[in-house]
Amino acid sequence: MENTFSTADSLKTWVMLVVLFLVGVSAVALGLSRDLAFTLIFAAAIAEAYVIGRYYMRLRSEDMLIWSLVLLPVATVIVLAFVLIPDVVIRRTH
Amino acid sequence: MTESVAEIGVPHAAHEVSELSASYEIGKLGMWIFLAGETMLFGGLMGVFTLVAFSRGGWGSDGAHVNWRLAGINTIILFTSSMTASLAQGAARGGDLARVRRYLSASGLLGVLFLVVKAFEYAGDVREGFTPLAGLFWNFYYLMTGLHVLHLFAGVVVFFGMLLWVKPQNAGSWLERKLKYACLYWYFVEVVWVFLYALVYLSPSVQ
Repeated sequence: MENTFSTADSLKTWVMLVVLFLVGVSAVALGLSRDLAFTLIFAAAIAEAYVIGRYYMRLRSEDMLIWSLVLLPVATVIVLAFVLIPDVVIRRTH
Repeated sequence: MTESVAEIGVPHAAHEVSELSASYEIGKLGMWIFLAGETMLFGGLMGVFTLVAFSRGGWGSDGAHVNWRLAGINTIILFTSSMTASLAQGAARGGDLARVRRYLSASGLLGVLFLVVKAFEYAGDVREGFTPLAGLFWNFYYLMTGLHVLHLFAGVVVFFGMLLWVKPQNAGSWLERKLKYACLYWYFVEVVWVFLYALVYLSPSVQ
């Protein structure tokens, strides 16, 4: 796939990204409910990152070593953030 | 007394290195390791931003003043620059150096346009009194977006610098590889922006 990514594929990827961007922006522009807006905004952001990673960064044709370099830092950040949540909850309740 | 090169094992080591290079693209691996570090940097900042927002019950009126429309224009600019970067990679694979130059220049110029729009955005914020010292939200806002701007500026310099390498004697896999590393960095900067836009611009603007 890496060597067959054509001009049309680049354009299709751009269109996908713009559509996802509009989904995220519409959550704010249309004044949707808070929960629905947050869900849409972050779902769109994750989907955009996925599209960029899959089509532009060609992650789907990479091996485990590269995947681990992508996933380990992300997992570490998420774990560290979760570790701090009890502290934040205690702070909020006092 | 002088040891031969074979005796001290240099050819053997060189052979192992060349085998490793053949089985793995060292430059690409290096770029991914660099990006892993950058992920920790931006991910850590975004994590802290989210936790602080949660501990304060949101950002209140501060967050409502960010210019998400102008930042939205920048998002489209960045998407377009990534598309032209991708097209430059395709042109390099096809050996079309004129198109490589054209698409690389377009990506670099779109990066410059992003920086110009960002400068207008910062100027508007400061005019309204939202300086980096205006409160915790604005501390985070300038720190995270400023760090992203620095990364984007570095990418622009790399793209314009790469134009010097787009010569017939460099055409082929060498140019393709260098372009791939530069584009990988640019796409990463784009991914960071996607999350910054959701976190710093859109989320605080939700009523």
